[in-house]
Amino acid sequence: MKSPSFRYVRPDSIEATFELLDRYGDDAKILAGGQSLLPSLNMRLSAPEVLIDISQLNELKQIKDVNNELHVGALVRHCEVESSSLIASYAPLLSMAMPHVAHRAVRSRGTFGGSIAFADAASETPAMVLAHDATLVVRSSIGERLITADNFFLGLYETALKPHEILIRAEFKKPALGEKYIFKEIARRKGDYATVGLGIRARFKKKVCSEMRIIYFAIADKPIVSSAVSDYLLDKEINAEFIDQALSYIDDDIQPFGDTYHDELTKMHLMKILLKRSLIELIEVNRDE
Amino acid sequence: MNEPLEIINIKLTVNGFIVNAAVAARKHLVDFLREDLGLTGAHLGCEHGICGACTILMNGELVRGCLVLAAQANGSVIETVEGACESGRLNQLVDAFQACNAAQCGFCSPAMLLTAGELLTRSTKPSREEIREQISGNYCRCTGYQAIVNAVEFCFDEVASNE
Repeated sequence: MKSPSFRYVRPDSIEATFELLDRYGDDAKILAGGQSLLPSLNMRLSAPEVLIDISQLNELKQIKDVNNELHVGALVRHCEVESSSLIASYAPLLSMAMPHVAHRAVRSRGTFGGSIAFADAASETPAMVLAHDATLVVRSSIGERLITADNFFLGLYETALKPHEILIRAEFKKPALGEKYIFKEIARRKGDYATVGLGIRARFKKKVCSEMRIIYFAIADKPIVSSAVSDYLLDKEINAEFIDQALSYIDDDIQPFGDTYHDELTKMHLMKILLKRSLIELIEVNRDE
Repeated sequence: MNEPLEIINIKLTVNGFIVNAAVAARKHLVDFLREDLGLTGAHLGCEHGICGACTILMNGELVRGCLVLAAQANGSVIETVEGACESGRLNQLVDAFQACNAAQCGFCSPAMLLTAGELLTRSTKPSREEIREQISGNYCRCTGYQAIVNAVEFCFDEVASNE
């Protein structure tokens, strides 16, 4: 289908962008790469009066190392996230997730910040931003706010962003030495939305687990941070005999939603498989060291 | 340009020619190419970014033509299958598609050629796996993909043997 009619504007500065947002508020939508917004317009799921194309805001396009923190601008494209060596060292899970984000022709337009602000529950970027404990910087004509990723994703397509604000960048701390990362996803076809997915950031001291952050995605209205499974694994020297017990705690972490193709039981089953494979990998990595 | 408008003036380069046009804000790039410029090589399939039939090159990168507004393309350099074929840069690939029977109904072929052609610009000997990865965003409902992967592989072999 074709998109409904709207008016389009491509402001040349961030000040002009805020003026437009203040003037049109909820009637306007921000257009970044458009790889989620334009399909939703073409399918007539959304009908904003005004599209504000922010592609000229060059200050949002940078990946910068600032005093041992990595600032990733909202307009950095997926293909740039995929190939950035700075992101590979500060937020490896993001790099690992990128090949799973749609296809090359979409990654060349889709943006890091667009994906975060859109907050699709099945998309990789919000989940991995959460896995890395990033801080999100949002700005309006009034000023800037910092929001931790834990407090940013509120629900399906729902974030802590207010109508007059835009996402400026995400900030990542330098990861601790020796952190281990695992990213896994199951999709029906290469590049499709995830059926289930997870990201793990873990640390071990003399093989004993000292940090375990597990993020599940595509199973609820937003990415979910594990508490039950990760608490169980903490302070243990993880080996094969703990796996079954760890998997049993997943019921306390998530109560999956079904989607068009998979009911909640299938999703739970698949997520357990991903978690089991991940734990086996962690055990192997630890053994090899 | 800080005032929202329904009709947008754009200037862009399409297949080497500079084009000035006034377009409806809601018009996407493929409709602009097909209806306003008569370039019908980019096809419209799903119109929401899934099938890949509308793939074109924007500033040298593969994009979905249905997920770019014509207004967003202001100032950019666009290449469609027409331009790529006229310049001769896809000749070997077209020959390989013919030799391997990689086109049946032909609906996906322009986008397949551009997508496979992009791999030619940055790889010398991709594996079949890499070729499949490259065309994974382009649907073909006839061939079962085998012949297309064969053709791309054949083309890379031809290029290598000519060097």
